[in-house]
Parts: sequence; C-alpha cells; structure tokens
Amino acid sequence: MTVDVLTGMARAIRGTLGLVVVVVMTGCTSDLRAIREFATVSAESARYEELVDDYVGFPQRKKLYQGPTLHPQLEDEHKAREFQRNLLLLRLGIIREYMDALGALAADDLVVFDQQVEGLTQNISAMPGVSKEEVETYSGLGKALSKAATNHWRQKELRDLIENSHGAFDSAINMLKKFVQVGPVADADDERIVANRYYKDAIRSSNDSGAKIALEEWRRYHLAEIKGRAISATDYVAVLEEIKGGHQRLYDQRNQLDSKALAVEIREIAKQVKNLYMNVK
Amino acid sequence: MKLTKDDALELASCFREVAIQLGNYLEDNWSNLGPSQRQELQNEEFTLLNASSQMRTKAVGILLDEEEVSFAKLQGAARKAKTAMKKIKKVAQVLELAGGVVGLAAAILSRDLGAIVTNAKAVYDAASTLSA
Repeated sequence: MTVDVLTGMARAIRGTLGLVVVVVMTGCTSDLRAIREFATVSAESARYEELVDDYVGFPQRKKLYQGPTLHPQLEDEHKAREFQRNLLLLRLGIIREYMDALGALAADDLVVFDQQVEGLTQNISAMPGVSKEEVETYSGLGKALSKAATNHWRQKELRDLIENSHGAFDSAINMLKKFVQVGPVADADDERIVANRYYKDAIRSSNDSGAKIALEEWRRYHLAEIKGRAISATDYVAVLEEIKGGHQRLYDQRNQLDSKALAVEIREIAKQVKNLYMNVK
Repeated sequence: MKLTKDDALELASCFREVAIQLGNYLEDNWSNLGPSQRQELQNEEFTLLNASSQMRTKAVGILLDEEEVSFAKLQGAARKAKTAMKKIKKVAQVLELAGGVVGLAAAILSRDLGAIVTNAKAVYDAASTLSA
C-alpha cells in the first residue's frame, strides 16, 4: 500500500469517527430541560402558603366588623380552620415534593461523567500521534455515549413516574383548585359583603361629617385590600389549572418526552405558570 | 345522616342567599327602621354569613379527607422517584466499573469501527439492564 492510500484510509477513518460522534451526540441530545423548568416553577408555585394563612385567618378578620355577640361563632370557625392548616400545607408540600422529584429526574446534571471522561482524555493524550483535536473528539464521544445510556434510563423513569402518578396528580390539583374556590375566593366575596355593610351602616349612623369621611376612606381601603386577595386567589386557580394542563401534556406525550415539539410546548406552559404566579404574589 | 361535601356547599349557598336578601332588605328600608332593628338585622345577616362560611369550612374538611388517597399515592411516587435517582448513581458506577467508556476509548484508539459499535452497545446495555 502506498503512503497516499494509507493517508486516505486514515482520513476515511477519521471522517467516519467524526460521523459517529455527530450521530451519537444527536441521538443523546434529549432536551428534558423544559420539563425541568416546568417542574421547578410548579414546585415554586406550590409554596403559596399565604393562601392557607388567609383562609385560616378569615374568621379572625371578620371580628373587626362583627360585634362581640358573634365572636364565639367566629372562634369555632377559626378552630376548625386552624385544624385544617397543617393538612393543607402538607398537601401543598406533596405537590412540591412530586414536582421536585420530576424536575430532578429531568435534570441534565443528574450524573456527571467528568471523572470518567477525564481518565479517558488522559489515556488518549498519552498515546503517540494523537492530535489535540482528536483527544477532544474522542472525549466528547465517550461523554456523549455515557449520557446517551443514562438518558435512556432517565426517560424511562420519568415516563413511569408521570404515567403512574397522573391520575393522583390530577385529583390532587383538582382538590386544591376546589379548596381555593370554596375557601379563599368565597371568603373574599363574604368579607366584601361584611366590610361593606359594617362601614355603610357606620357612615349612615354617624352625625359627624369628619368621621363619615374617615370611615369612607377606611371602607375603600379595606375593600381594595379584599379585592386584592380575591384576585390573587382567582389567579392561583389559573396557576393550578396551567400546572394541571402541563402535566396532562407530559402524560399524553410520555413516550416522546424528548421531542422538540413537546419541549417548546412545555417551556411555554412553564413561562405561563411563572407569569401567572408573579401576578398572584 | 352523614353530611357530604356537596350537601355542605349547598347549605352554604342557601345561608348566604338568605343573608344577602336580609342585607338588601336592610339597605332598602334603612330609613324606616329603628337602631335596634337595624342592629338585629345586621347581626342576623352576619350570623347567616358566618354559618355559610362554617359550612364551606366543613366542605374543605370533607374534601381533605376524600383526597387523602390521591395525595398519599403522589407522595409515594415522589419518594420512589427519589430512590430511582439514587439508582442512577449506581448506573454511573457500573459504567465506570465495567470500563465501558475505557473500552470504548481503546476501540477508538485502535480505529476499529466494529469495536466502537460493540463497546457503545455494551455501555448502553449496562445502563438499560440496571434500569429494567
């Protein structure tokens, strides 16, 4: 064989290896980052503990507007809600725990192959006649193959988690939505009626024009505060709805979790959850 | 008879409706009522609104009981996933112990395309076997 033929073969081998690297790199570029983003913002949104505080504190807030004869009724209600506090926080905590687990499984840095690749790089570097570019290429190949192997495993675990939990997740989110509607949203409606009645009656009963003006200011201030709470609670229902929708998409596409189209969609949902939650806060 | 969530919510809605009607009556007849009558009507309106809110509190309690199973299942799944994450560290160890990557390196250095494919498959299989 002539030198030209050998050189040609070497080029061909290098070309083929380059192709292998490209193929492997392409094959293992499973974009689960969008799922991680979605899980992270969803877990963050499940930290909305003020909602539970508002719910538990509602009977106490009503004391401001109601006479002492009605306070025992409000005390009873407060005790019942105080009992529910930890149960509600626990449920928000479970949603957070689930989303944390989902996000961690989708994390790119779950397994770091730096150590193995470093050893590989050193071994290759020690070989005579291997260029710096080749060392980088081969190291990249080793890393890419290792990632491909674990990506396959990760996707299977993610798929199993989503598939097995979807029904329970759906019910859990529905429960929280119902709680927000029956609790904080309805509370705000009632509080508006009570505050309005209290101030209107006080204004009409007063003969002091200065007091009337001050009471009117207080009425507006409190109604605005109550309206803010109502909007936050309603927005939080939208956050939960969005999270539920995101999980539904993951469930529908559980066999193609690394698809680019799903990544685009899930990233958009994550953005939406984040924006909606910012309004809530 | 045991109160259901829907019963509690329906009662809450009824109490609230009557409270609102009382409030409207008070509003419409303010000038015709004496202070004690106004106070009495206001108290009744508030008592009914409080009763409505107590019924909603009961509904939340029932809701919490009803959905306990779903949350327990979700928590179990999250914990299982955490165990799985520990397992992936094992995958990494096996990859290292089996010398999959090193074997691959040797194949690359020998420019043996067949061996590269074989070793790549071995690495892949090692992980897949563990995940089964």
